[in-house]
Amino acid sequence: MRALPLILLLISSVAWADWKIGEQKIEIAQCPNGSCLISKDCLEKSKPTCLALKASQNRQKSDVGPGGTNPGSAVCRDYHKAGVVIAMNDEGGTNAFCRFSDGSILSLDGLWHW
Amino acid sequence: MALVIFLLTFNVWSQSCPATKSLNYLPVHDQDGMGTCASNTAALIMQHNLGLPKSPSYMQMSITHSGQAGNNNTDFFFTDDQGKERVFNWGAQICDVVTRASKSGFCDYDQMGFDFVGAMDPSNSQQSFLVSVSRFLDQKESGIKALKDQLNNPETRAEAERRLAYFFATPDSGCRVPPLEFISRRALSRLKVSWESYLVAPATNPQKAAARRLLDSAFESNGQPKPEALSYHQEFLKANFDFEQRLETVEQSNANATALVGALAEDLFTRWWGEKKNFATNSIPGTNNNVYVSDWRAYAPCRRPEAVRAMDSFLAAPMCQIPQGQTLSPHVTAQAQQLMDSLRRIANNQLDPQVAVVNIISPACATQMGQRANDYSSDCDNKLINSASSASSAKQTTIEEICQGRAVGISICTGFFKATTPINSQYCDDDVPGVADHGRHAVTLIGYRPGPNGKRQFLIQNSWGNSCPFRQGIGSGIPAALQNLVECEVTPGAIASPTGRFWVDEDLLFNNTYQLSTYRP
Repeated sequence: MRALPLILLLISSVAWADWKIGEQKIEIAQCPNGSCLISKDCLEKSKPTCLALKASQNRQKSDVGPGGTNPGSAVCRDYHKAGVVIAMNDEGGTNAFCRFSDGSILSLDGLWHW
Repeated sequence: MALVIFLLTFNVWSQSCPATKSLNYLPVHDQDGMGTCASNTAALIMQHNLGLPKSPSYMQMSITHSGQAGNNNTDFFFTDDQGKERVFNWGAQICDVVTRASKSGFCDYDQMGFDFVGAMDPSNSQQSFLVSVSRFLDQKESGIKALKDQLNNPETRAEAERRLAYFFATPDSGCRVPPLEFISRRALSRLKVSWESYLVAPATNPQKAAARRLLDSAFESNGQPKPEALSYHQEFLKANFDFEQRLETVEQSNANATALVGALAEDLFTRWWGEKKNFATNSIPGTNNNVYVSDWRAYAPCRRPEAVRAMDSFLAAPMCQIPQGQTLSPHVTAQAQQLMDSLRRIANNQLDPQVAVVNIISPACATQMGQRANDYSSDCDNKLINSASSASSAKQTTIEEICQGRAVGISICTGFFKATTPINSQYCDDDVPGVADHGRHAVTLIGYRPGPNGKRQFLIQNSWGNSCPFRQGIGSGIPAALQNLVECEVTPGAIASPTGRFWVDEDLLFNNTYQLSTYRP
C-alpha cells in the first residue's frame, strides 16, 4: 500500500505525497515552481478555478509577527478569510496549510512575499 | 592578513572539530500564526542535547512559559516611526523557556491531550483549545481575541446563543437599538466604577496609581466622561465591537449576555485606553529607540476573572433555546467546555500560575511533566549560554557546541531574510537600507560547513514548515547578492522543494543575531 504513491507517480506527471490532517489523509503536490505545497487535484487540468492555485499566483506582502509567527498565517486568515490547518507528514514534521472554501489547500509559504 | 587569521582560527578549531558537521535531522514543525518560536527552538534544543527519543511539545512549553512569565521586563510596547503601536518580546526567551521547562517538566509532542493536530476541529486549527488558552494566558489583546474567536465561531453554542439574542433585538421583536453614544456613556460609567474599585484595598499601590491615571485621563472632575474618551470609546466600538455592541442591545432581555459583554469590553478598553496614553517611557538597551513601556498592563485593573465567570455564565445559562431540529456538533460543545473548564481553573488560581498551567494540561501530560522535572536541571548561569555580545564569540561558541553534538538556539533580527543585500543589524535597527523593519524570531542551528567564499555557513532549522525565507521575495528566487551566502536546503528530485532548513554565511548570520542559548546536560 505504501508503494501506491510511487506507482501512481510513475504514471502521472505530478509528484505528490500523503499528509495527514487529523486522521484524514490528503494528497499534496509541489506547486509548479516548487516553492509551495498544494492540493494535488489543483494541478489537474480539470481544476483551473482551484482557489489554492489562484492564491499561489497572487501572493500578498507580509512579515514576521511577534513571536516569530509564520507570515503566511495572517495572509490566510486576514486576506483570504480562510482557516489554517496543520498537516503532519510520515516523519512527524508539520506544515501549516491554508484551507479555502472550495476545500483546496496551499502551504502558507505559497501565500506571501516579503 | 584576514586570510591568515581565518586560516589560523580555522586550524585551531579543525584540531578538534571536523570542517563539516551536521546533527541528526529531526522533524521540522510549523508554528503557524502562533508566537511560539522560542518554544519551538527550545524544544528542538532539548531533543538534540538531551538525546530525547521524542520531540517535546512546544505547545505545552509555550503555555508553561507564558503562564509563568508574566514578567514586565520581557514585554514592551513601542511606537514606531509611523506612530503605530507595536509590541515585541525582549530578553532571553529561549533561555527562559528551557529554564521553566526544567522546573515544571515537559511533555512529549504526542502526549498532549489537546494538541492541535487532529484532536480538535480539523477545519480550523486556529480555534484549537491550546491556542486559545495560550493566547488567553498572554493577557494580551490576542487573549481576548481568542475568546471572541470562540464566540464568533459559526458552530459554537455561543454563536447560536448570540444569533438568537440578536434576533430578539431586531425591530420585529420590539427591541430598540440605542444610539452609540448612549452605549459608550453607559459603558464608561461602568468602567469608572471598575477603575475606582482599585483605589481601595486590597489593590497594590501601583494598581492604585494606574487606576488614578486612567480615571484622570478619561473623566472630568464632575464624573462625566471627557469628550475625548467618549469619542474614543465610540471609535473603539465601531472598529472592534460590532458583536458586543449588538449584544448590548439585548440588555433588558439577557442579563448574562450583558455581563459577558461588559467584562470583556471593559477589560479590553482599559488596555486600549492605557496604551493610547503611553503612561511610561523607557529606551531599548543598546539602541536609540524610545520605548513606551506600558506599566499599566502590569498594574491596571484587569477583569480577567470576571470575564471568565461571565463567559461561563453566558455559556451555561439557558438564555435562549436552540432552534428545534438544530444541534451543535459534539466536538464543538466539547471544545467550548474544555476551554471554559480550563479558563475557570486559571481564574481560580490567579496567585499560582504554575498550578493553573499544570491544570490545563491533560492528566497524562501533567504526570509526564512532573517526571521530567526530575530528569534534569537547568539555569541560565551554569548550563545555558547568553553570550551573543559579540559576533566572533557567538560564532566560536556555536562551533564548539555543534561540534560537541549540541544544537544552539539564536534570537535574530529577520531583516536579513528579506534584504536583497547582506545587512548588519544585530540590534534590529530599522534604518538599514532596504529593510522597512525587523521581526524578531528564534531559530535553531544544527550544523556548519565551509561555504563557497571561504567562510563557514551554518545550517538553520526554522519553524515555518517546509519553507525557506530567502525564497519568499517577489519571484521566489534568492537575490543575486546573496547567492554565495545563503542556500535553501531542498529535497532531491526534478522539482526541488524546500525542507525547512537553510544554510547562512557566518558573518551574515551573526551580524543579525542578538542572543544565543543552548543547553548543556
